Amino acid sequence: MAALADELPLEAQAPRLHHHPLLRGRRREALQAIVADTRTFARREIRPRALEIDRRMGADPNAFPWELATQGGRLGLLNLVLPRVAGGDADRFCLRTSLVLEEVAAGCGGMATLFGAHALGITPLLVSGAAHWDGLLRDLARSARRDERPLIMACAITEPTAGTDVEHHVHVRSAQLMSRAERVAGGYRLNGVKHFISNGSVARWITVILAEDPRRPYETMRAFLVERESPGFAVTKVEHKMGQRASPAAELTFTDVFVPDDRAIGRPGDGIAATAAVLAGSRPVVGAIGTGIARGAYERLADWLRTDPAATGLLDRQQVQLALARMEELVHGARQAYLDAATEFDMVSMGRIFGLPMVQALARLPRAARTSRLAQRQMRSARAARLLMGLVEREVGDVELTRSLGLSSLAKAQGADAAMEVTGLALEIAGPGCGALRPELEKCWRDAKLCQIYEGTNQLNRLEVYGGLVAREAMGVLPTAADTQETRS
Amino acid sequence: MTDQTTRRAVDPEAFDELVAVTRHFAEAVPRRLAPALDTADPGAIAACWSGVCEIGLERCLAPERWGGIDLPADALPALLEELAAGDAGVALAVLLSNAALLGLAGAPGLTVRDDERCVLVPGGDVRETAPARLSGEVPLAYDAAAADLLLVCAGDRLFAVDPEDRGLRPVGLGGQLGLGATPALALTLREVRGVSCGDAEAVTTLLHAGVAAIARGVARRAETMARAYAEQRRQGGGPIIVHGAVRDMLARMAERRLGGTVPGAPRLAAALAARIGATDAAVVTTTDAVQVFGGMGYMVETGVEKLMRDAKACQLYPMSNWLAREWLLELER
Repeated sequence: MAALADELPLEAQAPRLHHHPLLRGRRREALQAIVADTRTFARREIRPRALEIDRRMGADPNAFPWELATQGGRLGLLNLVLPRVAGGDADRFCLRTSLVLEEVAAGCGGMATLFGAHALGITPLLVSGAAHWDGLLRDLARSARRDERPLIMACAITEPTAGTDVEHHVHVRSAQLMSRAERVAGGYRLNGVKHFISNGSVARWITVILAEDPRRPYETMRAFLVERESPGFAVTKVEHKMGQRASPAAELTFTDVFVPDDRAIGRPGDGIAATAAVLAGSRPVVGAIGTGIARGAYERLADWLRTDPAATGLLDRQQVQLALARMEELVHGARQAYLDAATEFDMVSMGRIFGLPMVQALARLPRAARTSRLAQRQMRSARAARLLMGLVEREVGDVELTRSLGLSSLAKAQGADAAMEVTGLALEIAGPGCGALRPELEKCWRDAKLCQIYEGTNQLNRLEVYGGLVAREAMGVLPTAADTQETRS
Repeated sequence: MTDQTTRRAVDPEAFDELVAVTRHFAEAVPRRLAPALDTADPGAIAACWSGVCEIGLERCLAPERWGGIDLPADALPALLEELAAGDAGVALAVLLSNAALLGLAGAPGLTVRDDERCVLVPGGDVRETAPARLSGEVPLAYDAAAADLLLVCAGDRLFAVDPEDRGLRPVGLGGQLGLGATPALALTLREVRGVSCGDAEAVTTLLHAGVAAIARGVARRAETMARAYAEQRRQGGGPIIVHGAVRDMLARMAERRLGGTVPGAPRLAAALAARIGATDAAVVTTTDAVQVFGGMGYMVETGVEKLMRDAKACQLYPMSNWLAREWLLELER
């Protein structure tokens, strides 16, 4: 049996990548390079330290692995979703982010969530228009390349009384939101509590999803950018978690936190469409993290079976061969699901917006032209927001966005379930007598469970699969053609 | 199991009272101390063990001359299930103590003082390399560090071993998935002196039936917690128990609990099958219980993720279920 840890070309993992339209010439080389570098980083730096970080953060969830986050930043893992216009190089980022975070997750599920949650904090800024593409995002790109502690982001959606429902376009209408953003002179005043926020305790900037009227979240939800140092902002708790401890989950309290107008993202009521767009792009990544956790357990087990004297003879047993085949099958299936979803997002859904000539032209403008006061005022205007929604409606469309979210949700649920089954099976095959492998596999198993819960529970994700792929009903979160006409006129 | 252990008459009323006392104790002490037990806090472990000894659970299968109450072995699982609904690790400690005493009672002339802590050490590859000399490895020995006397399984035979024997080397595991109230270590045996206690079948049968009962207790607790949470947590305009996805998980928990096999005939194959079924069911039930709680379930403070880890630890003890199935097939051929 060949070593699974051998360097494999991308095509060996997913034969379709031979023919992928996004992977030609230099693009292919660039993707191959970052995936290979990340694999080396995960094997040499992350995996050997994963258990120690897990134990340390189990005892003290504030003991954040800054060193690995900084190393990952230098490798580009904090820039994965930044488009060129914002100093990055990922105009179509979902496929790249997914492939790269599978590699990180094979080393440590918590580290993959650290980089994934950072990307989740950035994505609402990307999908809400060009006004935010300069400034903070460029700072992020620069910070990640330097040797100092990088600038980490987080996205705050869940509240103590509302979780999974806030992420669903129907259930959000009855969500019991307790936090709110109140309009005041020059901006907004935020009050409330968000909890289980991945990276929440270490993030310098947090993208907070809030409703102006908590009784009408569908109509009034939008995003706000909050700096950690803002008066009234506090990290009130850092949770002790079962696993994925490298990315701390925090409770964030907002007490009269003032957010100026230029840090309010999108328009009131855009929040639902933006959330759908963000989740369509982030759920394939969670599917990839699940795939990576599964692969990590599978590779660890296979290496042990091949090399450890305590495992002598086990590989000759048909039950063990069948279990390994089942693991391969689950990892392979989960990977194909997230590749489908990521490709759909990049080529058909929201990702393609960044490749449109109009948007590319915006990227080629001198930075000064984009950041001038006049340009910024134009880009933040109600008209610009409607234009963007109109563009999304024309170029993507509600049906395609719904289908994209359906595929993404399928990939998320499939990756999470594969992670649970493979890690459980690996523990079962290795048994209690596998020495130092045992705590590693136990950690993989503990890490896997979170994949079934975050980014919407698997049950909610399957309802999105039903809506997008079975019932094929458009969510109706984008403006109608009539709205768009009105905007044009 | 031997006739002596299975056919003793038990006063049903007295036994029901013992079950009720055990249930009350499990709710009052181990459940309250579960977070501390999970971290193997010595104070919490000592407090639970003191309560266990006060009721007499730790040696309820032992003969009266050893300070026990001489219950038949097939009475123990009902007590373990109650204890495990409080804390699975405490229940495992009681199981290992009683299983050891049951085995030691088979050794002619051997005496155990009523304050001596006896612990069964199953699993591993221990062999009798010379007459009354044992060598091998035990990868997972729960509670061995607390023992005054160990009962080691070597193939299908049992041996009493002094934990102070110079050939016995404990090795720390560096972390434990679950069952924190019974701290585990690995043992290496090199020509350790052992006193033969005879055949292992009755003790092994009790061990598997006991782990099955512990798994049932863990699953029962997880189901109770999940149902209470589903009634109380509101989402989508009502309590989450109205949602089909949650109802399905809760219904399957009940289905597994009510459909679970309880070994009627106290024989090894039945006990083994019960352990495989109960531990698999407990892993699914506890995993779904965490899912019903959502993000809250993944946080240590809720206590439900601990049940998931305890159930998984039961599934792997004293052996993986795929190997247990192999053995079951051999027993049934």
